[in-house]
Amino acid sequence: MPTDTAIHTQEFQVNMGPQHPSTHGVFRMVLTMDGERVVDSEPHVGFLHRSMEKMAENRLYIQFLPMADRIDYLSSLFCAAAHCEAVEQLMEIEVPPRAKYLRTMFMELNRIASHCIFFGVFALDLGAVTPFLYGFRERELTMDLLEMTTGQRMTFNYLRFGGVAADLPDSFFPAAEKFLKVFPGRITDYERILNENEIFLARTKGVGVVDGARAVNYGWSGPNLRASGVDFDLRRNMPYEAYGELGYEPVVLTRGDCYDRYLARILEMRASHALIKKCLEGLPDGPTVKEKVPKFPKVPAGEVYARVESPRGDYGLYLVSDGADKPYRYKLRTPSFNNLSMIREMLRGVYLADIVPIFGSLDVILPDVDR
Amino acid sequence: MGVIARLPVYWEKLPGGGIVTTNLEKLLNWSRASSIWYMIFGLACCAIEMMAAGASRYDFDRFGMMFRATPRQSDLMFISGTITLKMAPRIRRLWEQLAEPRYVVAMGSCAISGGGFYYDAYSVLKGIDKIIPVDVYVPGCPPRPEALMHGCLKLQEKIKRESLVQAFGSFDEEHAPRERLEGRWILAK
Amino acid sequence: MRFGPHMAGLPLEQIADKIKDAVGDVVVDVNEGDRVPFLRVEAGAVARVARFFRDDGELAFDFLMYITAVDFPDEDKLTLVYHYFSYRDEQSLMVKADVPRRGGAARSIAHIYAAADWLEREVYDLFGVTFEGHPNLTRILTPEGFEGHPLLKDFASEDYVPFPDKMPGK
Repeated sequence: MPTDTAIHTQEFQVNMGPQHPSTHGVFRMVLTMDGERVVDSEPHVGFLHRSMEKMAENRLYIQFLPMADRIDYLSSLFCAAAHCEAVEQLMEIEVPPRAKYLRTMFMELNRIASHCIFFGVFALDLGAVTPFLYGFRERELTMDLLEMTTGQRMTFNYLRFGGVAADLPDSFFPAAEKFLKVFPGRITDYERILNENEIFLARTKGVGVVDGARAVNYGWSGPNLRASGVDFDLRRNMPYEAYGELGYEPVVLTRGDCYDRYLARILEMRASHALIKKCLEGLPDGPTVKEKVPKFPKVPAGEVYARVESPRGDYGLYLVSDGADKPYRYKLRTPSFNNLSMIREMLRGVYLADIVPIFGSLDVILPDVDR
Repeated sequence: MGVIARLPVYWEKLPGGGIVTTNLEKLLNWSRASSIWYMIFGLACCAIEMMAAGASRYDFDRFGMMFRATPRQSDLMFISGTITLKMAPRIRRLWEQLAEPRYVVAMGSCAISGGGFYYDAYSVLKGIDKIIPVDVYVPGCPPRPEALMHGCLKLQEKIKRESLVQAFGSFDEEHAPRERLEGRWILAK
Repeated sequence: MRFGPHMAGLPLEQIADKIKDAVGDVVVDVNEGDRVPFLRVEAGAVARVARFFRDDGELAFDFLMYITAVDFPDEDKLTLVYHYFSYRDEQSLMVKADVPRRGGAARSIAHIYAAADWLEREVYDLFGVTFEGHPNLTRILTPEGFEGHPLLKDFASEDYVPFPDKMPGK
């Protein structure tokens, strides 16, 4: 209670608006502040709601495939993979082994690209500009490989029902060898820049600690959850595509603060690199797409839930079909929606300056939230 | 370094010596076009290509273009990504906060016309030029960073062609050019 | 390896019996399903079933993946779908409940599974189902001032132009 000699203070509201350099897209938070501490926050999403689910009900399955890429554009192959897997499960199409390996390899390349952006943008939010340039330099290397095969840098439109759209060109193998040789050294560079940097540690260690059980209750998944100690990764526990044959050990850390969430992704980049190497060495011969799959399939009636482990977490597609050539209900279970819903609880009582590392370490992407 | 140190010697040998004549318009336009500062305003997928255009391989800084976080310090706004009806009033307000002379580049098909996909989206604004005036349209989905740079070079040419009156308008409140594009979703609160 | 019902946990019949013992006679249908098994319960019991799922020791459904609804205008009903997953047993289970299309309501489970907070707001926004007891049931995805519930099959508004079956010129 203010006494006669005390200074009268008051809570005030700060709007961290839809345009903000650190909000990774269009996200708005209205923060109620008591000095430097956040008392409460009110997140507003929906600034990028592009009604993907409604549009899917009016598109043929093959027409929606390029749109699926744009749901989470940093990991567009995963979104397309969920779409293709759902249709393939309902139509009982078996993907040939070479296509499985190609899908796996490019998905891991896409994961590396997404984590490179995370690394660059996370450091940029905290004030470091150099890691941003380094992250994008490595991302360009992966995008070169993807562009050689698919023709696109970001939203690839590469998967088809029953396989992939194109085989690897001859120029792919020398470029991939070079990338695989160079990349571990670059990750070491990243670790040397940030992992022991005093400012970085002060801003991320112990900040935004999340308990594993509470995170599961909020529906978290992906590297965020594994950094809080929950040992679950779809690639090992419920393998799909070629992950069963390749084998994968997830990266699990224990503390659950921003630093661990960052470190989990750096270590996942190394794990993805190893997986790509295994894929290239064990690439089987054969067709890249199953023959006689109709281009405009009439999917038999039924429902299916197809899950993939995207760089953000557990991406799933609940598809209800009534036998037509368009989906009846296309429900996207996007990981960033659930990851972001905990932000209100995470921001209670933190300093204003801690909001940025907490939000950045979640690696949310807004079109994933808003669809 | 050697050439620059000896530059005054070369100047003196030119007819006219160290005196250069031009007109104010050309000088101001050249200086404005060579240092366009753009606001980071990424909405969706095109934002990543905009960031890639400003990053290592395709560098925007060599054109003098730096990113600024606030509209008050920038000349240019890239509208990169899909504009939803919820975001439209905020974009209009941000555009009004840009200090004149200001430019807008509509990057990607979503900004130009609502995007080829979003024909039947109930929440997407079909083109940013419904609410703010656009200077350069860069097509693509997403446009490559080289395409975006081509768009920026075209914008530089456009700036160099402007007359002083056009660019700085009138500093008088009443006569300042103000484009009031009406729309149902602009006035929504 | 395909996704299928990963029944490391209890079989579906046993889960239905446990629900009957603990919550009451609310299970309407037990369906192994082709790919994801589901239980159909009465609309008024979804919250009690959710609490039972979280607290029972034998089941371990700690992860609410999503809540959604499917619109069946011909049968004049909306089917609410709650998809649970258990990390310990790697078991996936859907709970379905039917509510009427206009004015459908169910009890909120936001205090049981924290993920339901935003998930129920989304279902309210897109389908119009109200959740009683929700701390903040407001629209989350559609713009301010939006009227109507977009994902219903008979949604019409002046901003919505349906996708043509044939593109012009064909």
